[in-house]
Amino acid sequence: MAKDKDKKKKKKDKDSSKHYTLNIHNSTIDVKTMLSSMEKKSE
Amino acid sequence: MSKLCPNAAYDALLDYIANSDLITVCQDTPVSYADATGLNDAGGDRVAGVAVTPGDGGGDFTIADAVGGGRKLTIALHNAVPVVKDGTVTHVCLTLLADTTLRYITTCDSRAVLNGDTLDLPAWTITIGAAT
Repeated sequence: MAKDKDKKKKKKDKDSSKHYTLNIHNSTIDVKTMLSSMEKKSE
Repeated sequence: MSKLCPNAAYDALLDYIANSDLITVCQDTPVSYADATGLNDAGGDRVAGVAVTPGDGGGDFTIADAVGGGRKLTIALHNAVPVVKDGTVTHVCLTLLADTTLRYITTCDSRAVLNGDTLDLPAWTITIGAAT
């Protein structure tokens, strides 16, 4: 009986899980900005 | 006379990033390796993660010419990445276990997720533009 309940709960948990596709933002490295921030750090 | 930055110079930077071995999806902005890899609300920000093969050409990272000049690193897509902690994801990180470094952070559209959900991570890119 307890096992059945556990099975049902697991099935319910599985059914309620959701699937998403993330929108990851492409990135551009601005070398000028990077170099100037490195210079500031080294000061 | 045009300006030139050799591919080797671009690739040295992109190789550093491509030598990561774990992609993590995080809540908040991680400021360290521990933040990016530790579980959310347990000393870190990680909500989901997937192991990857380090290095250009290993299957998960590809370095190539960028459209319009410069060089581009493409990180391959990963589907059905399990969410292991509840949270609101906002950042995607690349990390390396061997020297416990946080190697890159980008952002993603904010989304609330729950433990047990799954995420598809589409391919994304990091570009360094041509010398100007």
